[in-house]
Amino acid sequence: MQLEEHLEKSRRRFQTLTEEIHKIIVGQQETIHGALICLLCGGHALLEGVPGLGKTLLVKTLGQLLGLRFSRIQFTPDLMPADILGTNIIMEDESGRRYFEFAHGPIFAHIVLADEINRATPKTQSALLEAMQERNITIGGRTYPLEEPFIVLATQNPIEMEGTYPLPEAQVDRFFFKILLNYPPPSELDGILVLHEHVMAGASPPRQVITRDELLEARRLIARLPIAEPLRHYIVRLVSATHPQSEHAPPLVKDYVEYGASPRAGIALLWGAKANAFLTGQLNVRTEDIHAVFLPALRHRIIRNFRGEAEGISSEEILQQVLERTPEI
Amino acid sequence: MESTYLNIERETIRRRRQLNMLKGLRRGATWGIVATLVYLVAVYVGLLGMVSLWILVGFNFLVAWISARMGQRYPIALQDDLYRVDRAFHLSERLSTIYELRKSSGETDFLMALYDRTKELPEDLSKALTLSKSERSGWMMLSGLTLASIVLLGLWFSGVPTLQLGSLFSPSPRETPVTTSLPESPMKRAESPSGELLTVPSREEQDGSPAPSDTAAKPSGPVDSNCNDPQAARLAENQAGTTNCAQAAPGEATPSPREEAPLTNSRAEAQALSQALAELAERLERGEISSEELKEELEQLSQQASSTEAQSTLQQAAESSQDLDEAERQIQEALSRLQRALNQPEDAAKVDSSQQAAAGEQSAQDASSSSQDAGDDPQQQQQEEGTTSTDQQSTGTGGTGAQDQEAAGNENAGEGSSDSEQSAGDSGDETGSQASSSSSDSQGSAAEGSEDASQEPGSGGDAAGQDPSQGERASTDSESLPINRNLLIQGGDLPRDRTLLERLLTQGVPVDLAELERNGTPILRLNLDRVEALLELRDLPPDLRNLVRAYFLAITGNR
Repeated sequence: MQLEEHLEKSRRRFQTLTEEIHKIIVGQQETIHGALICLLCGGHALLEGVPGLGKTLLVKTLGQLLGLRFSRIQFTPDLMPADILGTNIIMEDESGRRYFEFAHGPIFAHIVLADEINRATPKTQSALLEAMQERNITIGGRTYPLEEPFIVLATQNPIEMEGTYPLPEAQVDRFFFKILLNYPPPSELDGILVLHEHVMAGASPPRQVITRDELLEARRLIARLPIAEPLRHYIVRLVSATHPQSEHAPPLVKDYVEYGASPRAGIALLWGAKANAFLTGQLNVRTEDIHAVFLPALRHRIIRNFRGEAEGISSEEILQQVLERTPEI
Repeated sequence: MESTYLNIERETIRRRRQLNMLKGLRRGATWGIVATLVYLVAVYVGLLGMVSLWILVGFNFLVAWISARMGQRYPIALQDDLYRVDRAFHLSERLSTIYELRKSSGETDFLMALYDRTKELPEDLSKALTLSKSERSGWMMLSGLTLASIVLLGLWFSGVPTLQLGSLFSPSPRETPVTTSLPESPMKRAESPSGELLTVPSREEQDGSPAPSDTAAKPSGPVDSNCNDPQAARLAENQAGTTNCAQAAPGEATPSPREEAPLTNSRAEAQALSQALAELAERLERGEISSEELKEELEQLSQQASSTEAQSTLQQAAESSQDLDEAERQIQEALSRLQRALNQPEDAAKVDSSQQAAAGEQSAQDASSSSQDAGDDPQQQQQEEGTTSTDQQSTGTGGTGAQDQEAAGNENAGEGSSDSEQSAGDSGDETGSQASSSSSDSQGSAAEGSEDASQEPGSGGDAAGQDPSQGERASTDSESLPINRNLLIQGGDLPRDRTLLERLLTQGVPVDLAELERNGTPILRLNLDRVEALLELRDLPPDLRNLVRAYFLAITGNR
C-alpha cells in the first residue's frame, strides 16, 4: 500500500508538471509526454519540426518548471567543441603564479537545449554527442562528470538543409527518442494566440513544481517497475523484426530497410514503456506502454536503403507494419 | 489477493492441460488414421492382408488415448498462458507480472500491490486459452482423414475389388497367404465402348445370389472375393498349383455349382493354357504382337502344355510365327484341341453321364441343324457344321435337342412338363443348353443336367414352371457358356474388307472380327465377357440384363 501511495504521489507531481507546461504550450501532448518520458529515463530527445512550433519554448519551460540548471546552445557552423564543453584557461593567483583553470561550458547543466544541432560541424556535434553518451567530459587529461539529471533536448528542422550537417546515424542512435512536432490544429492555434496575449499582458512566469530529488526518486521508482517476461520477449521480437535479414521481418522492412534497430532501441523501448506505465498510473508495464513508445523510440533508428528513400517510404510506415505484423506472443 | 491469483493460475494450468490433451489426442488420432490409411492402401494394392475392423478401430483408439495422455503431460509455459489471459481479459498484464515477480522472489511490495489489484476472476478461461489456428486446421485435417478412412472402409466392405499388386512383389505365390497372392483376373477387365477398362463382376455377383458354398466361404475382404471369380481362381491355380480358390469358386471352373471337388492340376493347366491361347489369338488379331514376341510366347506355352498334341501344335505355330496368318491358324487349331481335351471325361465314373450328355448334345445338334435348315443360309450352316469347338457349343441349344435331353435325363420331371408348352420349351432350352455347353466346357458338368434332374426330381420342371425371366437367367448365366460365340450373320452377308469390319462393324460393340477365312469370308464373334462388362457399366436391373443376354445369345444362334 505504501508503494502504491508513493507511486501515486510521484505520478501526480508529473501530472502537475504537465499541466503547468500546458499553461505555456498549447497542445503538443505527445511531444510533452515524450519529453517527460525522456526526462524520467535520463534519455536525450531529438525534437524535429519546422520553425515556430515551440521546440525551444518547451525545453525552456521544462527547465524552469523542474528547477534545474538550464543552458541553451545555439548551434552554428563556426561553433567549436570548446564552446560546448568548456576549456582550460590560464589564471594567475595572488602570488603571480599562473595555472590552468577549467571554465565549464554550457554542457554542464541539467537540461541542455541544443538548438538546431544540425547546423554545427560534425566535430562539434561529436563533442556534444560524446558527452551525451558518456555523461562526462575529458579535457586536458582530466575527466569532469556531468551532474544528474543530465538531458539534452536537441532540435532540428527538416527545411533549410543548405549549410547544415545532418547527424550521422551512429550519433542519432544516441538519442532516446525522436519526437516529431506537427503543426497545431486550428483549435490549438487559437489557444496559442489567446495564451500569447496573456503572456504579453504580464502573466506570472511558471513556478517550479518538481525538485531535482523528486525527479531522481521518480527515476528509481520507474527502474523498479516490473515487466513480465512475455513482454520482454515481445520487445525483442519487435526490435528483431526491424532487421531486414530477420525471418520475421515484414515485407516493408525486407524491401526498404538497410539497417534495423540496434539493441539500444530495445533498451529505449523497455525504459520508455516503464516510464509510460508510471505516467499512466500502472504498477507494471503493459503491452500498450510498449506500443505508446514504439514509434518515438525506433523511428530514428531505422536506416532506409536507397530504394526506400527514392520511393519515399517513411520510417513510420515501416514501423507501423512491424507493429502490426509482430505477434504479441 | 494472492488466493485470487492462485485460483486463476490453477484454472489456467487446468485449461492448458485440457488443450494439451486435445492436441495430443489430435496428433495421435491423426497419426493413427494416417497409419490406418497407409495400411488400407497397402492392403488394397495387395501388399498386406486385411485384419479385423475392430483391430483397426482399437488401434486408433489406443494410439489416440496414449497420445492424449502424453499430451496432458506436456510442459506448460504458464507465463505465456497467463499473458494470454491478461490480454484476453484486459488485466493490464498483471497476472504475468505477478508470475514473474513470484518467480524472482523480489519486489514484494510491487507483488503485494499487484495482488491487491487482481480482484476480478475471469469466469471462463476458454476465451483466453483456445485452440490455435494451426490446431483448428489440424482438427479439420483429422476430420478429413477420418472421413477418408470411413469411405475407404465403406468401399472396402461393399466389395470393391483390390488391385492385388502384391502378387508382383511376392517371390512365390505358394509362400504367401491365399488372401494376398491372387492376381486380379484379366477377364474381370473388359474394354468399354470408349476404350476404358471396366471391371467385370463375377457371375455370382451379377446374379446376386451366391451359391451356398460361396456364402459359407465368404471372405472378410475383397481380396478373398477374387476367389469367387472363376477366372481368377483358374489363374490362381495356374500360378500356385493349388485349388484354394477353386473350392470357394463355384461355377465355371468347377464341374457343377453343387460339386465342390477341386479340379485336377492337369485340367486346370489345360484351362489356363486355353485361356492364354485365346488371349494370344486376340492380341494377334488386333496386331498388338510382333512375330518375335509371338514366337517367344508360343514356345513358353508349348512348354507349359501337358498334352503332347497341343505341344506339337504350339511348337509348329511358333515355328511358323513369321507368317502371322499361319500362326493364327495354328493357334486356333491348338485351341480347339485343348477344348476337345477339356471335354474328354477324366475318369470312368463320369463316362456314362458324359455319354448321356453327349447324346443329348448330338440330338440337340440334330435338332438345331434341322430347325435351321429351313431358313438359314447354307454357307452359314456349313460353317456351323465345322469342327471348331465354339461352333459345336453354339449348336447344342436347340429346343428340340433340349427336349430330347430333358426326356433322356429328366424322366421324373413331370411337374415341369405338365406346365404350358412355352414353359416346357424354355425348360427344355435351359436343360439342353446346360447339357450341351457343359459337355464342351467341363467334364462332369456334361452330365450335370441329367444328374441334377435325376437327383432332384422336377428340377427341369422347376425352371419350366417358374418365371420365364428366371429360366432365362438360369440359361444365360450358365457358367458353361463359351466366352466367344460366332454371330449368325456371317459369310456373304458381310463385307470382306478387314478394315471396314474392324473399324465400323466391331467398333463399340462386344463383337470382334474373329477371322477371315481363306476365301475371305469373315466371321464375327461375340465376346460374352464384354457383354457382361457392358451390362455392368450400364447398371441395368437383372430382368433387362437377362433380356440383353438373351438377345446376344439369340444373334449367336442360341435361341
